[in-house]
Amino acid sequence: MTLLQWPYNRDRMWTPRLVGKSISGGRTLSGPMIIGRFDGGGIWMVDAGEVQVSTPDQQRAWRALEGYLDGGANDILVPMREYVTAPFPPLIPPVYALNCRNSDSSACSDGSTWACSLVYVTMLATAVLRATSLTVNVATTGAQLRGGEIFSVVHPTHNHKAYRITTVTANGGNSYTVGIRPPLRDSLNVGQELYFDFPLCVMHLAADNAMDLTTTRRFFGQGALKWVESFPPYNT
Amino acid sequence: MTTFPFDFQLQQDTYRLGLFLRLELLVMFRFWLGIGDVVANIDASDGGGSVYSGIGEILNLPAFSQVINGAADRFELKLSGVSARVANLAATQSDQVKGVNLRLGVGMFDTTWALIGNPVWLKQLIVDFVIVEGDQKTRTVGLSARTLFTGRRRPQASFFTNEDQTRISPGDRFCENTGRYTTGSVKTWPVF
Repeated sequence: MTLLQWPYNRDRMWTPRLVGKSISGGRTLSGPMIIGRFDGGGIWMVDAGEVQVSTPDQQRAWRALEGYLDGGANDILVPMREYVTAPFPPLIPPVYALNCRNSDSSACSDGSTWACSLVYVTMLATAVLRATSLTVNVATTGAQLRGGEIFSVVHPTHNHKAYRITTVTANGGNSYTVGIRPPLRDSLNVGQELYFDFPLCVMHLAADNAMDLTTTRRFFGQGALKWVESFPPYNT
Repeated sequence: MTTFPFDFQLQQDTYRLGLFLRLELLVMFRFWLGIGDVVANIDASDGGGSVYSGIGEILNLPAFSQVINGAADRFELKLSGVSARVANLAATQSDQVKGVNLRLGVGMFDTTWALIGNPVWLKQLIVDFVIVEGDQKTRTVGLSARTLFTGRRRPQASFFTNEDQTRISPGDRFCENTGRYTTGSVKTWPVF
């Protein structure tokens, strides 16, 4: 199952949010306002504003993706990367894929190297469906989890799903216990990687006219998009 | 004193509630009105725990009513925004759900969105027919379900005549003398 990926960083305004559904009966006579949530943890919605479509290639790409997404009927991988909050080690330029070598610093026989994540985080213990606490190993020296970071995990049927770290507790060494929202969409096994470098999430357009684009003198323009998290089975 | 399992949580200012439904077709159809899947073990039909699929919608569930005096009670569960294919399936295969049990229940989550115990069933209904509605913009499918007291085949009101009573309970002489009462008379219970 291959999903296309939305181009990264063309938007000037970016609002990822976990949307829940709650109801309230209003304020009671004794003072408290009782609120009940019914959504089970929330769903990702992303508002991308002022998406720059400045060149002919960008216009063509926009029109092509508009046709591909079919007004929200098809799904796509949306980058959830927030450069300033990602836990990159200080003083190291963050790149999506590093050239990694073998443990003895050698390369492959043809001279090529391995591609790997800059921030390499894996599961130290299994986590069940709907878990909100993970025990992870942060292998990258200098990478520090503080809370608020967005990461994604590749689930067997759910593909990339994004989560946000809410709490961090150091267990000693490279082990941390982190709280996440929303709850896990599927279970995770020991050793499974959590992607902090370039997290993605399967989404679809929230409205069938979300990709309307008005251009100035047909030269350039800017669009605004609303994405909503999508669940399997996916239309590719 | 027996208390509702979630008494304590419902007394808080904020709570996390999940509404669970199970349509007891040949293949059980389990879902809940939240986002994502949940494993719950509500009764023996769930075995050691079954996955309830989240449909991510807050449907306009009508209020539950306690049946008193046998008033007809009908319950409609609707989902809008379905595809044409789903609407067509609903219209052509509605006979498969007629007479099927539909259970509605509630579960409570703690602050980590983990289920507190298991959900409990609050209501059991019987599905009557499938609803398919739509206009040029939106298609809606739904289920219309009833309680045991909603059926229209209840007999007409019966009277305390000897014939009615003996038809119900052959040999019963309880109403043997009701024909001797005049209309409007009040029979005072004897004082011994």
